Amino acid sequence: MLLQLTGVNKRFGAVVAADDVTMHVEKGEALGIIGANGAGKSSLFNLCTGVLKADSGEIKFHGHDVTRASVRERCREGMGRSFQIPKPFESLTVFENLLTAAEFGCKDDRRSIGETARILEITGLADKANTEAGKLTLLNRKRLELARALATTPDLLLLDEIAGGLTEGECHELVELIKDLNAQGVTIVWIEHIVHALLSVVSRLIVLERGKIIAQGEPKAVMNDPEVKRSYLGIDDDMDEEVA
Amino acid sequence: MSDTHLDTSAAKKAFRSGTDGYSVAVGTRTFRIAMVVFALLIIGLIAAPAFVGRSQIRDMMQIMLLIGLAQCWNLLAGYGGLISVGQQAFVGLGAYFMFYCIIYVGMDPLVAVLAATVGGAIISVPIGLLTFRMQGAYFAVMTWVVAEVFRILASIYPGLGGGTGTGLPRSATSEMFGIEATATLFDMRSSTSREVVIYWAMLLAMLVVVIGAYYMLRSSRGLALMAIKDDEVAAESVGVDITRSKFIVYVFAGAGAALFGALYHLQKGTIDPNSAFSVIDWTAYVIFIVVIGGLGTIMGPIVGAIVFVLLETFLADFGPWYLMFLGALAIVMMLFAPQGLWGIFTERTGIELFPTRRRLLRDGKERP
Ligand SMILES: Nc1ncnc2c1ncn2[C@@H]1O[C@H](COP(=O)(O)OP(=O)(O)OP(=O)(O)O)[C@@H](O)[C@H]1O
Ligand SMILES: [Mg+2]
Repeated sequence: MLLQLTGVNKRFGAVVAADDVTMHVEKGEALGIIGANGAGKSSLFNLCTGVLKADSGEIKFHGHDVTRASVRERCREGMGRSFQIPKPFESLTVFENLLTAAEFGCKDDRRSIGETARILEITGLADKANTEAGKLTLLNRKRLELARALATTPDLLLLDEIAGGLTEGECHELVELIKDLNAQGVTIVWIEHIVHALLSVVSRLIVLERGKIIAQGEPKAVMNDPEVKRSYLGIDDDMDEEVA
Repeated sequence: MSDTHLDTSAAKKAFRSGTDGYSVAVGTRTFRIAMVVFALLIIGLIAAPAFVGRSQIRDMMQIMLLIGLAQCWNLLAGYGGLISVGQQAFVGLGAYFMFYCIIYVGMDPLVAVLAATVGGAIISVPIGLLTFRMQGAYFAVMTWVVAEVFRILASIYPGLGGGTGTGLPRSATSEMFGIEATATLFDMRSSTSREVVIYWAMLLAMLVVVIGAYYMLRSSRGLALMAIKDDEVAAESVGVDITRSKFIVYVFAGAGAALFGALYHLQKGTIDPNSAFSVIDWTAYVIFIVVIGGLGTIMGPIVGAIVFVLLETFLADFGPWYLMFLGALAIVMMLFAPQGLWGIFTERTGIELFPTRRRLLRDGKERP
């Protein structure tokens, strides 16, 4: 087991972002997470990576307790993540963004310029290598999120709504890339509202509602779960059509 | 469970397949030209005592002192995001430590300057541990409080004259390393050659600080600092050690301030708590210089220091009006040109004399 959360809780005042969350991620799997807006999906990533400290509960990564480990330590242990709202280093170029991640995020020093360049190529950023990240379009900022996370050579890749706003073609490319990464051994946890893209990659699905896991398991079965259907009803019409 | 992650991570395996022909370049053509110009300038500055008068030497010393101090503050605020208003603590401590080493340990003054620099670096660690507990404005206030504490301690310490201060014994500075050789070389009185030796030391100190700052920014630590400035959460999430990066900058700036504090007071020959720990001289003016020249660039503080000394030379006769003018100018700059004079120049011309951009090249060529 790569990641294990046990009884994790997190509240913001009256808002419950994580309600007694117990879940695990197997090494090598691709796991999807869905849930309505504000269900606590991004908060879950922030808890896993240490950006948020859990009120209670335990988080284990690679078999050891990281509940109190810093964000940096968890990154260097092999957690890579993208931010839902991209957070590029705007005054650095795209290449320098990756260089920073490779320099500080990898545990070993076997990184090379060639590897960084290769990440730029597969994420479609090769032409933007020397462009300041602050000047990128939203699409390229999202690509940079993925590329920068990859530059830290993660074992576990946490992707937060990385397909939003992509055209059909771009979305297809992204799906192929994530499948490739997964096939090469990178464990994936993907939060995504674009369910058809998500379902073409993941083999297991978790549904969150108000910080609580309300369903999990094989994607098709989970999507047909009456409680999951109810949870979405009227909240997101697009998604309902896609499920149907 | 934690079996394979130690040797090689999954994503690394995925990208190991070779992609060659890539390289990284930093410098630009203007940079190479600038280096030649700088080298000539430095040679000129070394030789200057041979053909300029004593008062010009003093003016240049003041400019170099301010460049050094401003560069340190620029690193702190412009790259470390640390708005300190307490750098006078290190200026004063460096100066007092040097006096102590000369008077009580019997060190050669130049060795004492080195000792003061090391002392500044060492004392900045506990001071940093204290001030780093505060955020934003509280950090600024804390740095000032610490400086005040040291000022008061200096004024009640009787060994170096307490509140009224003290002077260096003549014998200590007249036997200083290099004075005799310089006096013979230029055929000058030893009081003049003393100033020339300190001038060279000041020049060396300025070069060390400017070049040191530049190399730090070009190194991976520079990447970390830029990343932190842009987005701390993202920086941490890709493994950047934030506190460590800021601490490195803080220690560098503390050592630098102590170095220049020592050199300045060696030239002056006297010391007292109020001027050694002066918030106006060592922080307010320095902030003004960085704001005028341009925060977050290596050239900014250099341009700012030169402009400041020119303003001082031509406007000092106006007394208090001069200070009000400086304040007004700083406010106007912050409101309408926060990038400073050098920032405006770079925007207009695209000229960057100390480039840090790391460009990815393929087969030696840059992609569009
Ligand atoms: N730092 C914070 N401080 C206070 N409240 C927060 C904070 N972060 C998240 N929340 C709240 O916690 C709840 C869960 O937020 P979260 O961002 O995890 O939802 P989400 O499932 O990612 O939603 P979305 O689909 O919109 O991205 C929301 O009500 C949000 O307002
Ligand atoms: Mg979210």
